[in-house]
Amino acid sequence: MGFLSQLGNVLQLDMMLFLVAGVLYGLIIGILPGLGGSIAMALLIPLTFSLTPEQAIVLLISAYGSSNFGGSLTSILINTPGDASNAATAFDGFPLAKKGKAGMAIAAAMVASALGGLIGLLVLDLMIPVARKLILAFSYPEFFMLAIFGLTIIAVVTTGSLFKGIISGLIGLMFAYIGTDPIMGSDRFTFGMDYLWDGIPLLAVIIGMFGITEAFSLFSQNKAIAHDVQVNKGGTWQGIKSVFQNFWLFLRSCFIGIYLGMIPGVGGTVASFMAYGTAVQMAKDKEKFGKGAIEGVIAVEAANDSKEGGNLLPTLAFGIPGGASMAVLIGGLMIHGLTPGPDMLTNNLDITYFLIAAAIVGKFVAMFFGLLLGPKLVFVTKIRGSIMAPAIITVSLVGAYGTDGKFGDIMVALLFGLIGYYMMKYGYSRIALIIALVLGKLMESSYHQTMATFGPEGFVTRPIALTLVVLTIASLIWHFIKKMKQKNQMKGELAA
Amino acid sequence: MRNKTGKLLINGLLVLTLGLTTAGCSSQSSPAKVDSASSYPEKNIELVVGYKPGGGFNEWAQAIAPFIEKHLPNKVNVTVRNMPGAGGVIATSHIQKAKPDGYTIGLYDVNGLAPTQLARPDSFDLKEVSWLGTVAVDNNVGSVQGKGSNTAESILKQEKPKYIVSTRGLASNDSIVGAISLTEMGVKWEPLNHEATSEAVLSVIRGDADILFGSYESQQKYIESGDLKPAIWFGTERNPKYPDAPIPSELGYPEFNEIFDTYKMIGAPPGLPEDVSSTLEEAIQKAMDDPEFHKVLEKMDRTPSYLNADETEERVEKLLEDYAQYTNIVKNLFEKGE
Amino acid sequence: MIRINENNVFSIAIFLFGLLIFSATLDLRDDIALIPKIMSFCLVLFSGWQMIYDLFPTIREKININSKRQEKKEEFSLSDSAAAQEEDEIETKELVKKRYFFIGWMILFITLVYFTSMIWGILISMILYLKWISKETWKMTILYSASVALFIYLVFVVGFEIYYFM
Repeated sequence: MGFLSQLGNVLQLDMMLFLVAGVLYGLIIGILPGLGGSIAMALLIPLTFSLTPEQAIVLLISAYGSSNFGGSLTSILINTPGDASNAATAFDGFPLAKKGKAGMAIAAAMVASALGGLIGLLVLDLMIPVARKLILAFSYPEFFMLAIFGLTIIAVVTTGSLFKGIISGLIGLMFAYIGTDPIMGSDRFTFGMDYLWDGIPLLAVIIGMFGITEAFSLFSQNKAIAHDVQVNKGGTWQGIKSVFQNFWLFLRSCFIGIYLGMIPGVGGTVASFMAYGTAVQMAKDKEKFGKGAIEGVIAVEAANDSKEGGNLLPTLAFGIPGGASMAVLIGGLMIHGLTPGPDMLTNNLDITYFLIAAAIVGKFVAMFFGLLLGPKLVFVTKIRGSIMAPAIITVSLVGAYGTDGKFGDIMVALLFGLIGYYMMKYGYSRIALIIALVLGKLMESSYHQTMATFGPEGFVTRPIALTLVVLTIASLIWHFIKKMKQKNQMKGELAA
Repeated sequence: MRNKTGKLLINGLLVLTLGLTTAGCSSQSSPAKVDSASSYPEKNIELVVGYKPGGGFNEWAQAIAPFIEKHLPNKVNVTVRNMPGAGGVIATSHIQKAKPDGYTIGLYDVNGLAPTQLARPDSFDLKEVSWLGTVAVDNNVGSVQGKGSNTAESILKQEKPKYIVSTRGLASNDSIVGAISLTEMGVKWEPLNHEATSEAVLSVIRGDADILFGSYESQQKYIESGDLKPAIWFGTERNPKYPDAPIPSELGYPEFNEIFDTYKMIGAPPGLPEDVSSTLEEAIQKAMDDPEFHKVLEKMDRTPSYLNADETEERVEKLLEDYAQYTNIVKNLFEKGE
Repeated sequence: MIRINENNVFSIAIFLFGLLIFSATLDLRDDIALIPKIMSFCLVLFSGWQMIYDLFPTIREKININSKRQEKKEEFSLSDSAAAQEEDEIETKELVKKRYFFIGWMILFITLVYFTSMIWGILISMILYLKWISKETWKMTILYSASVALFIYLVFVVGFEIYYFM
């Protein structure tokens, strides 16, 4: 717990001013469509030129850490995630909003985020002595098995027809393969379009499939998001409580977040989907997921924020960014003469602990503001659908466009809005498509990388990879046995 | 993407909470000389970068933009515009098509773009760009695992049946350096491809791959931390910091000494008017001489090396010729295994 | 008997998409094509089956009658597409027309963004939407669309100076 020694240095008046400013800024960036944690930091870096390194760390890390909080708000309220990692929050957060429980979902998300972030950072603090060894223990076979494990989640999260779930997953894989191939890095399936070189942008797809699809149904129903129900005002306390009621789920999700955040190239978006998948898998009542289960929100948010601790690990231990935001953070720190790398674990250990302490305090300040402001936004779920629809479309298009300013991203969002609408209408699984889109590339590239380095035996001779294989098979078998049991039960009931 | 801070909304937010920041920032945007007879520049200039924030090119663009701004005759802003996509191709074709009025300029990764141009000549032409100057020249380096036993000599002797080269897209400059030099040296090798430089570096540190090629700048911090060590230094003489790493001529391949130097060059759309280009060239030159700019670079641990517009143009032409020479090797790479 | 409705068109589209990717893998180097080829083949197979199933309701009826297939039907529960189809028939022409109107409006929106800018696109298409599709009052139309456009303008253009919004 080395960060405790630096906690006092964070809790200074001037540091706290920077911290609060960073948090508010991060929250706003998070709520704004299309702007996520990495942009939050990139925009701030020039402002830090005139600050001391410590002040810069506080400002950057608190802005980054709180942008997730803002992102989950739009996921829950209007089904439009601000950032790809918040997408899974919408799976159950938005159905909760439909039931009039947006306040509860927001509160649960805020608390799960803050505590998840805390646990991620505590684990980071404890792992510092073994950080380097730990990161080097994971190689391509493990990545491949992780991807396979993630893909089998499709079988679990598909609530309707499994056949159509598989088709949805396969469609997602096709989209994942568009872009550059994993062996040569040259373009493939781009059909002559430069735009497709970088692949189908995940955020635009998610915004389309959730935000725009939602606007479609709002428009055709012409009702408010939470129609026919009393919008629950006292949900805040209920939401906070729900995190502690599901504490094991919460902790499990935290570890999924840390574990996946730690591995460069696997990344944070995968973490939130995996956490969601395992939450469904381990739940007694799978049917309630996707229809407004608070567990879905808690799992995703916990993983989402705890992954930051994991993300920081390779950043600090090797200077290798664990994700896009970390690359920006490294740039920001380097301007102040701090080069993340092995030095951060030896000579500059104080700075590392200071960073962790600032991040932890930042999480709690963000939770405070989130709980204060979030539930006040619930009113949007009571606005008439025909009025909300154009606003959601606007927010979605701005969100898709805002990240890179590519016109193609808007087209992708719109196209996937339509695809998402028809998928929903005809019983295909949007979640399956997105999971496959997220994992498709990882699966393919790690397969080829394993073959090039370890050969086919690499898949079965490494202990961690083997454990993952066993886990994958076991979870699938368990899932189908459970389903069979349920079916038999149903038959029995019918017969009776 | 972002700019002078006075009217930033977020700054407004910060002003509320802390007056400090604002004071610090507004002092940045001070000097401006209004003495030029020519009316250029009348509005803000965009410096286009083909990569996302977080990489070397963005870093350099952010660093130099305020100094170009400072040395321009009129008080206008030079804003960095990140236009990522297709390994810089999207930004490059954007500049190629932009109006040659001096309000759109770009920071070019010519080493990455030259091979792309040879492979698919239709999207842009580096020969047509109105070059304004070079801000950085960097050596290339082939690095191996810090604690490992691989050296340039052992690789040349082919002590292992095949060497795994960690790459980031075979069309990228880094991989082409490796492909060309190892193939010409007669070493048997195989690519191990990654999506990002960070993954490629990690794979060498882990020991899964044997060697990684790239600009010194992109590997500097890993070499300094001891996770990687240079096995071959592409230059005319050994780097005094790494006396153990031989240069190609010592291995018997003098032709590789210089052709792999990497450049960060500033250019503008084809057909830039004479007066505009000389104004810009001068501003860039003055920025490069500015001791304050050097201070900023020092903080970032980067070294500037200036080449003027004519020299830059010459280098680009030479670069394209050199790469064309090796196009066959590159082409083979793309067809390998078929 | 072949039925043509939105559901079938969607199934056909998925099948054709799978076929497109599969045919594209044929030109690629073997190792690069390997995984996409396997996966797109699966997609062609699965979506082809689904398409035939949707196109020829008689097949579905046969399967439904065949009690031995009952098990399989439950496993893959293809039956919910039947429910969707019934819904489709219930769906009034009015609603379908409205939906295409909405799609048309969105296409207009992005066309406006392409030819003018994000801000103008938002302003004009919001006004069009509120006045002609949603049939709001003029006061509501102007106030609402102006404030949304102004908000985006202030935040993205004035605040963050994000160039591509103007």
